[in-house]
Amino acid sequence: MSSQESKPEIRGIIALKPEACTSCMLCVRECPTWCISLDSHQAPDPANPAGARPRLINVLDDFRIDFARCMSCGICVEVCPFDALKWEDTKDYDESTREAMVHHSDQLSQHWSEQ
Amino acid sequence: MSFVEVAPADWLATAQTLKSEDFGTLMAVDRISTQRIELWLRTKAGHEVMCAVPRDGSVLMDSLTSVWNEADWREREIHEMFGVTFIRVESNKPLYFAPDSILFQSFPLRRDVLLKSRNENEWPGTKDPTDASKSPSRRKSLPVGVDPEWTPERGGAL
Repeated sequence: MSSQESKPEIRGIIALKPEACTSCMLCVRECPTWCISLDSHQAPDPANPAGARPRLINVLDDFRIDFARCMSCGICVEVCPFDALKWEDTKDYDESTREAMVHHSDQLSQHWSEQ
Repeated sequence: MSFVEVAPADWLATAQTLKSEDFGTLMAVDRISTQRIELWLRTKAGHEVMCAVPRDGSVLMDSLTSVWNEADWREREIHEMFGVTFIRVESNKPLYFAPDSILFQSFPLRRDVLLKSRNENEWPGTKDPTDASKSPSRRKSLPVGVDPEWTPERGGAL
């Protein structure tokens, strides 16, 4: 069965909206297969009004999902308080190497479609 | 849709009453808090039968293969993964593991099995997003399935 003919109930891929992610680590810690990891750092909040007390926010550096380990349970999507993760229909993400199964922020955000 | 819980002695007889229906699935759940392993039978029509057996293996289960041939694969899986033993010898034949597999030393889907890879690899959740340089105590933030007392020397099953 080719991926185009796969049943509708078969899940696709998890997409990331990096701007929405606050690096809260909820998805990383809830993932039963430990397939999510992220890097972040703290930086002054650009939305902070001038003269106000400086605020630090988390800035996402990289977000990784290892699709070789992911079992498509969707817990990360459910647990995200900022809707930074969602299901997309793409089923064509075969890769030829083990390393390529780990999708980074740039790939994960490409999966995202605004609908 | 219906659900019934039966004693191990009534397992086969209950399944026979559902013989006219197609086999759906047969699976097991380790309930470590009650020291029982639950076997769940589900027919295509949605009838569910649950039977709890002691974890210590003191009760041998009747095989459902006389009712549905399809139960064979599931029973072998349940024997291998949960350590439930069936009266029918063929249901206890190894299914997934090679005869020399290290997996044979345990029943991998029981909840008290330690996963060696979990204890050897760093949990990604230990990271503190507010301070990348600081790594909080591993012990404080361990997820389930990881034993804080684990050492490579003591080892785990997997």
